Amino acid sequence: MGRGWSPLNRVRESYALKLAIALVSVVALTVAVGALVQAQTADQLRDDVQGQLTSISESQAGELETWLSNVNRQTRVLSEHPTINAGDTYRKRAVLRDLIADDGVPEGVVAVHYYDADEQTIVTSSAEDFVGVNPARENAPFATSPPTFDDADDVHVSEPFHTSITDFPVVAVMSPVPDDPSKQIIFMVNIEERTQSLTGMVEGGSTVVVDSDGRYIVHPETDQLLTTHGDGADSPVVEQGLAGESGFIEGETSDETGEQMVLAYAPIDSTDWVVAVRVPESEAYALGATVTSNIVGLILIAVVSLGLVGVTVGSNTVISLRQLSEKARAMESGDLGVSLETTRRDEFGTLYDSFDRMRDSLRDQVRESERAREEAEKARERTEDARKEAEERREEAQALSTHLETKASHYEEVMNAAADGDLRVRVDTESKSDAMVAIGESLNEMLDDTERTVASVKRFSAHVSNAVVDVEDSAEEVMATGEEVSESVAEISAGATDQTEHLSEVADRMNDLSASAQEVAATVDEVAATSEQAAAAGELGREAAEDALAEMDAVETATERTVEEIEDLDAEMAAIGDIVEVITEIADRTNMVAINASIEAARSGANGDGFAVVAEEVKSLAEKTKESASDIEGRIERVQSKTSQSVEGMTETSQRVTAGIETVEGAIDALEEIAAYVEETDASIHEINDATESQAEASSAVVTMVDDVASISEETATQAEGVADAAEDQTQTLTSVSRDAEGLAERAAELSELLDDFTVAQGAGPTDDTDFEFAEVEES
Amino acid sequence: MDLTSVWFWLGTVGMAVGTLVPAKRLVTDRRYARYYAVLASVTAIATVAYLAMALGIGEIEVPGGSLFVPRYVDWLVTTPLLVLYLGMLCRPGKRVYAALVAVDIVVIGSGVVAGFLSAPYSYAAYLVGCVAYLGLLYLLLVTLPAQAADHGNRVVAVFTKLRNLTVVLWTIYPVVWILGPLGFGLLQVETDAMVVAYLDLISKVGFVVMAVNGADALDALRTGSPRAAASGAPARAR
Repeated sequence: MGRGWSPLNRVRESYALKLAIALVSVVALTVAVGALVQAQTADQLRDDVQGQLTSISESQAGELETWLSNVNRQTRVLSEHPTINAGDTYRKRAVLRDLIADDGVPEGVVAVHYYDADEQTIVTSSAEDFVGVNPARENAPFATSPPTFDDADDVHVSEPFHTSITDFPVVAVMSPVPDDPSKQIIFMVNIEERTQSLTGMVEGGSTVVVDSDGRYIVHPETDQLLTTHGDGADSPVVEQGLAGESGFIEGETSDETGEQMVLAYAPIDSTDWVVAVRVPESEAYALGATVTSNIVGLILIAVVSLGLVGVTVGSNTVISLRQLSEKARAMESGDLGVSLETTRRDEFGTLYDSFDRMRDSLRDQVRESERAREEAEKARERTEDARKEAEERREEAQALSTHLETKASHYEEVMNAAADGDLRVRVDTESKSDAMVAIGESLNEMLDDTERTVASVKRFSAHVSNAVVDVEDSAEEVMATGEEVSESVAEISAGATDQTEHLSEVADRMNDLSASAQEVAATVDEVAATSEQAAAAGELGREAAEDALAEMDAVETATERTVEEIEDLDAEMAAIGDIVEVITEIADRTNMVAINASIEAARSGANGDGFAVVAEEVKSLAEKTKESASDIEGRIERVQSKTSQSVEGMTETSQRVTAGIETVEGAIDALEEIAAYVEETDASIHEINDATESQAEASSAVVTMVDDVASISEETATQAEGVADAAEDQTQTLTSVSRDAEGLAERAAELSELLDDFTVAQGAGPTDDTDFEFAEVEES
Repeated sequence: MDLTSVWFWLGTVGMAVGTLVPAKRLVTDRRYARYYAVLASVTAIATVAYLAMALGIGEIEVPGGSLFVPRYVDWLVTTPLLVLYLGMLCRPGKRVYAALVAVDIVVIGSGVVAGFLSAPYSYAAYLVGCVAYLGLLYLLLVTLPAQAADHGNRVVAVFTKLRNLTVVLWTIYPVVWILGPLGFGLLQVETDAMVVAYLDLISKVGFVVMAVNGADALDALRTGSPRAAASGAPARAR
């Protein structure tokens, strides 16, 4: 604010200006872009117009040239026509008329003449009106200044001219008749008709043709024909055109209307004519003007719109902010009653509400602080009362202190007198202040005591003088003793140093020991590992033996069961034996029956023969039965004997298995015993291990202790040296004591002299040494 | 394709719609009938003028182009009304009212004269109009705000907004005139008609709508707003 007025600061402090600058910048940018677009368009348009006009002028020049050469050729051809060369006038006229009537001539040719240059008369013509006409009288240029022909093929094109016979300007194209060059064929061309076909190619523009003198040969306005264009032969169109160049000219002023024109020209090669196409600039560049107008219109619309936005948005914002800041300023200067209401509901509405709330809370705080201020005021009044009371007290104290000062100066005088040595003086103790009375009394008492003491001291000093002599003697004795002590201590010191050395040796040994113990411990650890492996192996063996035992138990059980079964079999066999004996018996009896039968048969004779056969047969059967039974018996016996053998074998097996079991059990016991031993060993090893470790630890501890002892002995040595030093110090001290004692003796003498200054009342204090000692005890 | 009449028709419709806003208030709120009447007549007159131009009435050929008589008649009547409304928000003395209207008529009148004259004289008339416009700006930017400040914040806000709109948009008119067919001729008749129609719509309908929106300020104007007089905050020209 205080930096002075500058446009930049002004802008910095004003939102409205910033907005305005922003909008104006946008407008400036729009205008710049518009100008650029307009310039580009104008440039493009100019190129287009130039290209268009140039090409039109060139094409028209080409067209004219074609047409002109066509006319030339026709003229020449006709001049060589046999009838024209040799025929009579009537026939010549017929040819010419037919040519026109059949439309056998190029466009624009209105009449064909047969002309006698010497007579200057048109001998015959396609048009009746021209017959017998003298062209010189019609101011035809070919008559007034006749052209010369190089040969029969030459063709001459005259300048345009007016005739009284035609109401349009004409151009004559002439060629001589080969047989009689003074006779010529003339094509009369209506230049206006050509003109009309040329003009109208460009909207609003026109085509003109000028000759080498700059005269219009073709012009949309007929009355402008043969008038001079611009600077005539010097005008750029003619100069450039005759040089064979085509071109484009801008800003040329029209001869007729005074308008600014653009113009493109192109030469006609076969003649000295130049074709020019002209358009007024306003017409040629009409599109450019429209574009410019539209761009300007667009910019203006943008400006109006930006103005509207700037005014609505900008004004609203700036006005709201300005009013709000004025209110804030009013609040700042203490007016908390400002109105903070708005109908707006946007951010400004919110801002107003926030200010309103802030104002309310400010008002509350102000009220609060005013209340606090009143309380402080009251407290201040209370303090004032207290201060007045204190003032009164102070005055009282002042009076007292004046009295005390007086009293104190009296005391001071007395004390000064006492200080000067007169110990007989005493103070007047009467006072307003009890404390001063007490002080006075104490002072008097003190003076009493002092008087008494000084008297004692006087006697004491004499006593000291005597004692000092004794002290000096004693001190010398002590000094002698002290030197002895010094020597002894030096010896101790040497001893301690030796001890330190021995101890360090011990420490080294102990360290070695400790290392050995650690080695032992390592070995023991290895043994322990081995014994644990053995224990594990024993355990494995034991388990294997127990498995074998279980297997053997199973075998024993199986064997016993087999023995039982065999014994059952044996019993069965015995039963079969009994049955066989029964069968044998039956067979014996049957045999007996058979014998009896055969006997009976023999008795009965022949009748008994059959019977005898049967008996015989029975007998043989019985015998066979008996044989079989004994055979069975034999077999049973064999089986029984084998069974017995099996039983015995089995029993033996059983016994062996039992023995095996016992053996295995013995093995298991042995293995368990081994395991127990191994465990014991293990435990012992652990013990050894522990012992070794503790030994190692112990030796380390010993080492540590030895180190400690060593350091102690070092310390001892050091201290012994200290003691030696101390003893020397003591000696020195004693020397100084001796010296001091001498000084003391001197001082005691001085004291005696000084004490003589004090005047002491007679009878104050003790009178002799005995009393002095008594007094000393009492005082201590 | 000649869009000139299209712009005139669009202007007619826009102005007619703009007339409805104050006309409705004129009916419902009789307390400020005078204010709404001024606003409504601004757009109503403009509507008639645009209708006339759309129908091709009153077009006069002058050197350099056409001059639309209804447009200048419209301006001659409505611009004093707009200035009058700004004045009514501030309640200045009669002399200030008179000065406002007189200067405004000089501004528009010199525009009309410039339209009828040919090249060098038209620019002279144009310059006269510009000088008169500077006088009008002085009245609007300096004289009136001092009066508006007496009527409280709301009045200042509404006045400032309308005044800014008027000042900004009216300043564009001379620019359009000098660029238009009667001036340098950069703007062709058709574009000129479009730009002027747009300007007219914003500066008349925009003004009227904003004025109606800010009509609550009229309460402060009527009661005299003692608080605002006490605070006495000077409204500075932006």
